[in-house]
Amino acid sequence: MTADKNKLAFVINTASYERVSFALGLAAAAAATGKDVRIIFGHGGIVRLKSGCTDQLGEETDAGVRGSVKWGIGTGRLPLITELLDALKKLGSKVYACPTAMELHQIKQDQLVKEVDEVRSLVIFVNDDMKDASTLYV
Amino acid sequence: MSELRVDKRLDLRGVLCPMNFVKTKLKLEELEPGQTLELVLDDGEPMRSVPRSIKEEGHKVVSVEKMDGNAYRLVILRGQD
Repeated sequence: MTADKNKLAFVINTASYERVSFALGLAAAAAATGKDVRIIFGHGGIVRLKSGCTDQLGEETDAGVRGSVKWGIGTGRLPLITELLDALKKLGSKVYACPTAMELHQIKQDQLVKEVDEVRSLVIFVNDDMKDASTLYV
Repeated sequence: MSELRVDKRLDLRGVLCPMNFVKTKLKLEELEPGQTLELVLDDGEPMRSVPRSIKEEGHKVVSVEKMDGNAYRLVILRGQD
């Protein structure tokens, strides 16, 4: 099957700040140039979609980059994850939360940030969002 | 030369890639075709990448002016959808 060059699917399976930030930055750049972008947060990344946890540095963030992430956020050089999610929504991208990941972290639907379009199973994501798309796993 | 009419303004000094382009794109979407956006960009990477990406999206850079300090003022004419 040939991938549609205008369709990108992101699987975010880390909560490390710089990885999530970089992946969403890439997604936002793609969306801003007209690409159809779909993103699902899995077991490793779902905490970034929990209200109150999105922009925290978090213990998941690698020790080697914690200082630069703090500096970047403090100086405005590095966007907040909330800012990236907001931009993605304005650009028409879809953001999904994996229900199994939510269960494993005991996160309820009403605890998710408002930028989440829906709770979507991996099977539906594979069939509806990854189909024909180039998929990036982070 | 007559002064260009500016419909919206966006100062992106200190804003890095990709947010400088993403914010420009979102601001341009607030405009109608034919309206203009005044953009302030840092020299260096922003001036190399943002105007190029804007043109690839079908918009037009109608003026570029060096400002005091390490920045440029651009006026962008919004293209058709």
